[in-house]
Amino acid sequence: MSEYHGRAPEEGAATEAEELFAGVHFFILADMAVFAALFAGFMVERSAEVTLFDQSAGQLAPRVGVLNTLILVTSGLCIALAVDAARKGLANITRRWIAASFFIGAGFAISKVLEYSDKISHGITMHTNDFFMFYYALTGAHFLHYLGGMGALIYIYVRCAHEQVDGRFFGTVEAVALYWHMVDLLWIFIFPLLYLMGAG
Amino acid sequence: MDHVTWRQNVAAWTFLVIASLATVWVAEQHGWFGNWTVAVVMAVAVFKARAIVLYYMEIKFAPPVLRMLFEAWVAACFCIIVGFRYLG
Repeated sequence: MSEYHGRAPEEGAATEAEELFAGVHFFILADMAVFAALFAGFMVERSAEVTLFDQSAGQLAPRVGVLNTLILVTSGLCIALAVDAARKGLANITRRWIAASFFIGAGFAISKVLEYSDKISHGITMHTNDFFMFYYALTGAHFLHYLGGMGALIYIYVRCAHEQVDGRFFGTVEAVALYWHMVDLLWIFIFPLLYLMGAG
Repeated sequence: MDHVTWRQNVAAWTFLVIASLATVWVAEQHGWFGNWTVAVVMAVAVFKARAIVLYYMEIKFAPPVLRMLFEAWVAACFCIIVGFRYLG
C-alpha cells in the first residue's frame, strides 16, 4: 500500500490494504504482460500478411475507436476523482463520481455492441481472416475486462453507502480504480494497433 | 504532497483528450509524416499511457521498482509494435 498515498489508517487496516494493493498491482502487471504478448503475436502475424492486415484495418472506423478512447479516459477521470473524494472522507461525492464513471463507461459497451453488430451484419466474423481473428480476440478479451470493471464499480457504489470511505474501505475503492485504469491503459495500445496500423 | 491532486488528474484528462483527437487527425493526414505516421501515432500512445500510469494510477508516487515495471511495460509495447512495423 500505500504509504505513498499519505493515509494513516490503523495498523491492521494498513496491513490489509497493503496486501490488497500489492495483489492488485501484481494482477494488473501480469494481465498487462499477457496483452503485450498478444500485441507481439498480432505484429508477428501481420509481418507475414501486411497487405491483408492493412486492407482489413481499413474496414474499421478510427473515429469510432477514438470515441471509445474518449469514453474510457473520461470514465477514468471520474473514478480518479472518486478516489480523491474518498481520501477526503466525502462519501456522497465519492458515490457520485463512481456513478458518473459507470454511466460514462456504459457508453463503451453501447459503442462496442454497435460496432460488433455492424461487422457481423456485413459478414465479418472471427473466421473472416487472421486480422479479424485478432480483432475479435483482442477487443473481446478487453471487453471482458471492461465488464469486470463495470461490475466492480457497481460493487463499490453499493458498498460506499454503508462504509466509511476514508477508512478500511478506501483500499477497495483504490483497487477498483486501479483495475479500471488498466482497462483504459490497455485500450490506449489496442486502438492504434488495430485501427491505425495501416496509416502512412 | 504524496498523491495526485484532482487538478493534476483534470490536466491529465485534458492531455488525453487532445492527444487522442490529434492521433486520429495525424493518422488521417498521411502526407504529414509519410511512412513514419505509425511511429508518431505510437509515440503519442506512449505519452497517453504514461499519463494514465503516472497520474490516474498514481504510480508517480509509487516505489521505484513498481514505477519501473509499469514504465518498462509501456516501453515494451512501443518497441514491439514499432519494431515489427518497421523492421519485421
